[in-house]
Amino acid sequence: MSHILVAEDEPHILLLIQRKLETAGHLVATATNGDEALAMALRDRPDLLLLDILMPGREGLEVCKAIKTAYGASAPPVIIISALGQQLDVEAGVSAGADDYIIKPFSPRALLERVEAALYR
Amino acid sequence: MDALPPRSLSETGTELDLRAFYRLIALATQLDAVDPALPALAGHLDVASLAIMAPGERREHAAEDGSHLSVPLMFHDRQLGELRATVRPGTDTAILAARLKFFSPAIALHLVMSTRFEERATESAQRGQLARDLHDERDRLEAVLDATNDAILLVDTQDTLTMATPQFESFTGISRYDILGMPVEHLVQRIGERPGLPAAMTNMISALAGNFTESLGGEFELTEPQRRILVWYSLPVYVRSGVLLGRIFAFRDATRERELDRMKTDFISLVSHELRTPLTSVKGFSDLLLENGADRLDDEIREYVDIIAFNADRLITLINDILDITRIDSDRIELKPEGCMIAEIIDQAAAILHIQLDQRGHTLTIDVPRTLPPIWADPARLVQVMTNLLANAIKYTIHSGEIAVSAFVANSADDLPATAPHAQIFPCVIVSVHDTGIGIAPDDAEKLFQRFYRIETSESRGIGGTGLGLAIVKSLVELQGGRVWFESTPMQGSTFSFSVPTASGSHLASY
Repeated sequence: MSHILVAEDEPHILLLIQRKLETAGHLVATATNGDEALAMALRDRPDLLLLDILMPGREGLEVCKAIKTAYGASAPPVIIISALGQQLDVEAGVSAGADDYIIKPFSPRALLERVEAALYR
Repeated sequence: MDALPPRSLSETGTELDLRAFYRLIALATQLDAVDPALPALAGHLDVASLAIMAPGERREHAAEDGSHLSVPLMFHDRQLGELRATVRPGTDTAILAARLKFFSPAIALHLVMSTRFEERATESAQRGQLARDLHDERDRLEAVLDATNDAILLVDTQDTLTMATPQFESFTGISRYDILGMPVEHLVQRIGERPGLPAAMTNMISALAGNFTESLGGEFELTEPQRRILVWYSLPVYVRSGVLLGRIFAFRDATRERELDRMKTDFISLVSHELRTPLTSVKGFSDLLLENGADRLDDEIREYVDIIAFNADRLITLINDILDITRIDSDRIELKPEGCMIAEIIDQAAAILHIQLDQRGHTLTIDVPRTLPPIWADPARLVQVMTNLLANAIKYTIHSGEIAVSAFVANSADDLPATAPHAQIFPCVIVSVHDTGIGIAPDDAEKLFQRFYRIETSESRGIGGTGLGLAIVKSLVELQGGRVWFESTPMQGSTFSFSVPTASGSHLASY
């Protein structure tokens, strides 16, 4: 069981991710904006973060960079989940330090596979 | 009217009175015609009347005919007519004949001069009218050209710039009076001096000036005097008689158009993005139901959820296809070519589609030698091409059929199959996807690669799709230097082929 922080401003998608991960036995904390996600991640280091890009407050990429900087070598893996699906968007995610990039819409099964791949890498 | 020659003329008889002679010429040449001068002369000569008659019988001397006395009007050897006096009774005809003869050369000269003058006047009036007409025509043409929004340059066959409309001045900031009538090199130099004008513009004009065969076009971006996108075209111009006039260069301001294109693309991207969010929930929750709650669903509910999930996938494909077409249209597609192996690309596409293949009960054979040379392509985009072609083969083969993928290398046109387009970059790898499906009727062949075109037959009914797949295949392949073609027999099957240049060719410089 891993502790996963999910930041997503769209409640149905947040619920979808939360349900899928909980069904697989993970402990899920949720945030609906970038500032909240960053505060939670800094206060209580999760095992993995799932971040949307376009959110109120800090954008997902900014949160990703801040967490990678704050934790340094012991930073948890970050997966970006975004509807921005162009090659340039994915490259921007990678340069912000993200470990993986999932484009919406996604299949919940594929999401779980990639979360677990990042956790046990 | 001037005073008449002095009466002393009659007193001097036939002696030459030069003063009177010249005055008469002066008088006559001032007059519009000789006729009005005749009554005055008649008075002077003391005859009843004077008239100029058409040449009658040719004679050198005066002739008496009752009350008339005539003298010929000679100019050099030519008799122009005769001067005929109606003589008062009692006149000394010998003296009168001598006096008439004295005046006759002046009158003859006047006749000649006035005729020539009239001819000249008519001629010059006609010329004047012609010139005015030409001038008006030129004015009209210039006004029309000046009023158009395009900048037009004409370089004649002597490489001289003979026309430049004011728009050229406003597009480039180069005064047209600085370049008109100058050699084209001067124009090229002026363009080169301006930092806001692109080098492509000078290159294009230098390359095309003096070339009177090719028609070309393109696009430039200017940063000064104002940021503009100019669309240009250039072609040789002939007048109706077939005479080469020179070459024109026309420039059109397409800044606003491009801006609208960009806005359209941005709008489509935005809408597509906004569509993804609700679709994520539709697809995600229907998948979640099938993945996590399958054992709790009865068959009917399961079937309905399957349909929802299937259609969510279709919608996602449609959004992705529209985004791709929009990016291709706006030249915003990002191709990242690299040396890659076609066999791996085919394997990846086959892996993506293995579920659909199994569901339909098709067999897939891949006959691609591992020894093929590497190709120069964007692997992700080529997987997309391959996936689209395989997905079509799967979709349009209704019952368990055979789908075969093969590839070979073509080093020259001799290696091409008969159905392949001849314009190819060599060496290239040619990939073919063969199916045993419903095939394509000849009527559909032409439109097959058009956007949103879908074959409508009883066999194809119920086969889902956006009609964008092949349009995307064609664009993606051509953007990578290849070609797409197909052959088909209705109800027997189709073979779609595409070519892609190998990584070894000299074409690499152009990519």
